[in-house]
Amino acid sequence: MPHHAFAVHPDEHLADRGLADFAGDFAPLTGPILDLAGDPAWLSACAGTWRVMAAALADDRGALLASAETDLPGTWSPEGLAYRRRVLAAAESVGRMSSRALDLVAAAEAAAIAVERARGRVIEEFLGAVAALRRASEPVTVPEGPPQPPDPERVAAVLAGPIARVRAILRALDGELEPARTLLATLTVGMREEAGRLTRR
Amino acid sequence: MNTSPGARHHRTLTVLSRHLTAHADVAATARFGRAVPAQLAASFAEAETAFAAWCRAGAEALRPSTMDDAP
Repeated sequence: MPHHAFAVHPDEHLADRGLADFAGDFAPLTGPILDLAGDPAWLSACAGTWRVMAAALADDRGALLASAETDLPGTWSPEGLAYRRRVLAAAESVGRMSSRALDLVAAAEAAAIAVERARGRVIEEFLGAVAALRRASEPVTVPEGPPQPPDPERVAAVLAGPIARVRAILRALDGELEPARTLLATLTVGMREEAGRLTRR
Repeated sequence: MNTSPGARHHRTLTVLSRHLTAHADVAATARFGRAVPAQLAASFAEAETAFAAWCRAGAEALRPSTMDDAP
């Protein structure tokens, strides 16, 4: 029979169960909470992909520079000079975008560190809550009588603190991510301007 | 085999234009915003979209026909 923190069956001695069992019961609840903080593994995987892309752009810049030197359809002709000018401008743009791709990676890696730390604190709170819940679920001993089932309200009350702290952790994470947001806003403006320059040529 | 400068620039531009199109596709897939809290996700989405837009603009600008038609 599935257990629920707020409906302790009097016949079930939850206190006899191990902490790991308890934590396992609540695992479906922790996943979504941790998802609110973020997924560092995904961030790292994406960062790897963007690094490769930045390196490819740097290679592309090199190819464009080489093309400006060797692929001129008539070096000193007006067409040749125009081609060189366009290719060099494109090479500059590609080089700047390679740098911006790396800036984006840096923002993601900074975010991954903050997210990882917040997830660790959420997990600590969760484990603390499970332990407190387990203690609160123990049958209440009374003098000269059989143990009484725990008070469901008392059981529920032990979760109030951890829930408030998890909310505070997530709020603090938002604050920690503010510099990344600022950096991304600057990057976005720069990349839009870069696209505008390319299409205006 | 000797290749004329015109053919070489055509080939270079074609390859690089394709590269940029591929980068735009990658940027649309490897989205950081999927793995961060909502506010930051929006910032990442804007940056990723701007990057992809530049890639597509670059791909168009580098196409040999565009380059050759440029004033």
